[in-house]
Amino acid sequence: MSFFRINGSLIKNLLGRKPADYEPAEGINGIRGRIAIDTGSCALCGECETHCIVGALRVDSEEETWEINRMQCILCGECTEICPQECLHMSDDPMEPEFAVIADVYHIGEEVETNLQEEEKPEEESLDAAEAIDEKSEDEEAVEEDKAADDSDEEVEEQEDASKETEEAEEGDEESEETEEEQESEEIEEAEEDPAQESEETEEPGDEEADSEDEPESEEEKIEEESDGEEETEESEEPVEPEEEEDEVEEAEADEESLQEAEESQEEPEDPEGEPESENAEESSDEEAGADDESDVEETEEEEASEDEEDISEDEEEADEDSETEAEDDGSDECSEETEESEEAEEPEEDAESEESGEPEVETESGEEDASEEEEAEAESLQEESDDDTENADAEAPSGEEIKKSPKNNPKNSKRRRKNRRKR
Amino acid sequence: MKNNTEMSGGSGSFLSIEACELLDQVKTLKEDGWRFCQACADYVEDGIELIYTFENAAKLLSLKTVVEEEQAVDSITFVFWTAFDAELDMARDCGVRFKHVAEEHLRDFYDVADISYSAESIRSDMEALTAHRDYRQMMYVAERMAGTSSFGHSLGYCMAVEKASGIEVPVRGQYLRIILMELSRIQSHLYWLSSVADRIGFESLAMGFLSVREPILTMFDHISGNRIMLSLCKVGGMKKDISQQQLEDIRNTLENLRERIQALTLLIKEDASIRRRLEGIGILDGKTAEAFCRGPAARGSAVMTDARMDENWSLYKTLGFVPIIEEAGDGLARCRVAVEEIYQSFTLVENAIEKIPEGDICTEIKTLSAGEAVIRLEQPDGQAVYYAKTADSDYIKKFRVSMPTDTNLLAYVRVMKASDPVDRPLTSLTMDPCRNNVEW
Repeated sequence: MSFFRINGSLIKNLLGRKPADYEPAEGINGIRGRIAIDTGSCALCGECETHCIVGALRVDSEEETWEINRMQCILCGECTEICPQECLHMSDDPMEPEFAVIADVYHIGEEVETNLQEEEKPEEESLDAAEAIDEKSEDEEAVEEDKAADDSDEEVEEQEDASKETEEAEEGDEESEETEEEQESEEIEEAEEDPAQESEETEEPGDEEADSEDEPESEEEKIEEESDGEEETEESEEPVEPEEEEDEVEEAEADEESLQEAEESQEEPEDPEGEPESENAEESSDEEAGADDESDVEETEEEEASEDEEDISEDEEEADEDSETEAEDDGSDECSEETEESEEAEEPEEDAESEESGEPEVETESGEEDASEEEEAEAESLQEESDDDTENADAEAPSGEEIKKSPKNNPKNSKRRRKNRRKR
Repeated sequence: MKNNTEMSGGSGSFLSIEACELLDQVKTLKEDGWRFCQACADYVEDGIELIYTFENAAKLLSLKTVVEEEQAVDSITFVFWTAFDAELDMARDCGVRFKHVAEEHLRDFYDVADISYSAESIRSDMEALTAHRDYRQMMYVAERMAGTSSFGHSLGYCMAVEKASGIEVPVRGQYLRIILMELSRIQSHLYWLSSVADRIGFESLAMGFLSVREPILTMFDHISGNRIMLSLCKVGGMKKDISQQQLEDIRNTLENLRERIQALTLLIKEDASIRRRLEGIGILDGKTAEAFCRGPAARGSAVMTDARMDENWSLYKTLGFVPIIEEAGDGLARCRVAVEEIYQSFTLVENAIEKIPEGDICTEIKTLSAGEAVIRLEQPDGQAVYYAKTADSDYIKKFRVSMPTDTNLLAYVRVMKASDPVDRPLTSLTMDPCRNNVEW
């Protein structure tokens, strides 16, 4: 009878034979991995950028960088076929799922590692929690040049261990470098949804809580502080020094997309689509908005985005916003002001640009900040200059300080996240 | 333009006519046994160009006419009611105005109290990307129009552009395409049967089908690096070759799978409890099927129609392809068609692996030449029609996909209307609709 046809397998299964094979999947040859570039052969011709189907590549012949947005890349391999110099190839290193945008920037040609030490000093004085983050992000950006594994490792260490001096010192140079890179990555991220944004937002609430600094007068400051605070909290349970925070902020804001992803994304499964959209709308209005968590979060994102876009002085669309943000900066506390101002000064155009380019960029950056702190995220996608590595190595020496604290564990974070979500 | 002069030549010829002749020509075609295939509209210099495609067992024939904007065109719905959906598309895409639409048939759509249907789909937006993506990049766009049938879309796009541009694909490339298309059909049918079993409530059978499907996806993974979106086709041939070793692996995997699949499909075909659920639901009579649908749904109602019998697919004859027909026209018959097609695809793949020649997999092309072409392709869920118009540049002018679900839409709606509300979910699944194509 047909009814009993299945009894055979039923009984077989009953008697202990496991119908499914619980084996880990074997490795696949020819798996599609990240696109890797041989920076020595790249001629910055831009063919890959033109032919990229999803717009994940960005070649800047002025800055001599080649940037790839890892999350936008669909691993199709068209660029590897198109490249006239054949400097692109698909590696065996698979892309892990991430919740924030990762963009890797490579410097083609000579590395630009100048005067990092010199610029550190002026920055050190005005260290603030916000700055710390910025510095950190900047450091990370500036370091992007080689794919050297040690670089990424160093950065990872850097991010985790916010060494004040090294980070601070790097701020100056790194910021400029990072901003360029940030701009590039931001621009690429414009159209993208940024889960990182969400992560940023979540972090920011945490930052606020963690930060012991005064509430910044300007929203940007507040945001920076928040992000700083979060990073610090996440990174280490020890009391966060303002300098560290600043470093973290700067670094995080600048470029740590990959870093942020790991932390932020894991912690907060927010809807990336919703955030970029809401943030876009909010960013434009947030700069002048009051100190809402959301607005702060958004501003932070904007600030972060703006930091990235600092070097995009050519964009004048948001010049007004820049002046606004700058004005806000002026009104803040000394410490925070200094930090933020320095950051904001870099950011004015960024803010404008960030708004223009879309909040996804901003968010991603903020997400990057958060992610930067996580070693795992950092290690995976960071490609940093050797200069920063050295600095980072110093900064990361006290690795015990930074212990990643999942935003999820922070109840306030989750509340704010939900609150922010609802507002959106 | 190429293909324009042939009237009775190869499949897919184009014939330019005046707008006033349209209805007469269409009526003549209907008397000659042609059936409506697809219709689309595109902006040209003089106005709007309308392209109607008709098919018989082995050929495709397209009528082209240019009308001015705001000029009312005779609707052919009185002759071919299935054109209604296509005319809706044309009206939406280019603002074509139709007169004398057979409105009494609109009751098919608007009289169904508990089913709502929307003709919108993401397809038109993706097609509009032809302005922004060159022909190489469009392959990836076309591929992403559907999920399990993604390889078919990439293949259809490439074939349409190749035909329009007069590009020949080397024989080895053709064989590889058929191997991958049939493997894609196997995994899509397994997924379809799994969803039917799951809807019945037979979860272990559903999981069984999915677990049998896994080795096929793993093979795809080894071949192309991806499980579903293979991205292996390109205009001119294939992007990556399949090595002899991989072909052997495919053959061994299929051999090992045959027995496991047989145990599962036996249940679909003969198990009493499944039969009680599937038998007699969603009955699609032969006349409706002939007029309104294609693919396994039509073949389950004794309609001899399969795009693989088209002249463009001469390779299938070499591999011993014969369409699979069932008589009953109910849900069980359609599932049986799917089951038999799985086995047939096994045979086709094995034959292709045996016969595949050495050689190039791709022709080099610098850029496209102007032309247009229509291709129909047997997707797992039905017949898909691809129309491409190329220019002497890297950007194609127009690309239109007529998805299987669009083709089967009217049959689908009629079947759902006629069925018991209790049976509707299962009936819907046996018609294998694809939500990417049409929103419900």
